[in-house]
Amino acid sequence: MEILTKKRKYGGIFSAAAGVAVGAANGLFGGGGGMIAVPALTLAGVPAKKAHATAVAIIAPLAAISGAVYLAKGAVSPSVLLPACAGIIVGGIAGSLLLKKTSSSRLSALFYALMIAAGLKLSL
Amino acid sequence: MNTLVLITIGFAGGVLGGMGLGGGTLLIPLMTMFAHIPQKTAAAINLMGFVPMAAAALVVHAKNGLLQKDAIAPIALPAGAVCALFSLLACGSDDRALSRAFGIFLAVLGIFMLLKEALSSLKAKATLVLLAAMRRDLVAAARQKMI
Repeated sequence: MEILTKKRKYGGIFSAAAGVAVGAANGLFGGGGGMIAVPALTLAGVPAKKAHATAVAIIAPLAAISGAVYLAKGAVSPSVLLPACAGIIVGGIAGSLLLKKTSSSRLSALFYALMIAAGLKLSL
Repeated sequence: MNTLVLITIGFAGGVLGGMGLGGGTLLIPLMTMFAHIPQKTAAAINLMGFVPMAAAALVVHAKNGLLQKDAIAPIALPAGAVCALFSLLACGSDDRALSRAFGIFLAVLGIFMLLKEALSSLKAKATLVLLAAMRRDLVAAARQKMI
């Protein structure tokens, strides 16, 4: 019973190391931090669904920080940024509506295969 | 740069992101490979596009009680500091080198995730086989007792 009621404490070296990896990916590549944050949270004992949601809360401020740095350094002009972001927001709404109708494990296998293909194409 | 192409690519990346498939991990290669947008520009677009989407999603997640609040700061605080530093580093780096490094990162992460997925489905199958075997043993033992 004690095990069930005991509150888990997050933090320590593991979380700090995960934070460094998440921050490095997000800062250097402008994405991919979530792919590290979700498994790190799961390993720390956060249930899968909560881990996905909590990862968004971790990545959002990072995206704002690095986005501001990239913008200040002139990596992107507003004439490029605005139409792309408009597409992302409309697409995001469409995607979340579509999600209810698809099977998740096949979808994620397809997604990882695409990731590997894109990664190989970019690095070779 | 063609506005329509930018909207279309943003839309495609947004759909993936909305489906919870880590939008940025595919949106960035979509932009660099198909629209020949430089890596840093693609990164900036992904980052700025993520903020409003995340804000909207977080409102819903918070309402549904899906946020593990005490797990956020221990990761987000060191991540924020490192992130600012690495963003500055990226802005001073060569686009081609960054894109290559991102490609390696994607491929390694993809292989790791695919293996993890395969392992967990294998584990589930093994558990089922084990349970079926145990059930057979129990039934056999019960029959023997009855005789």
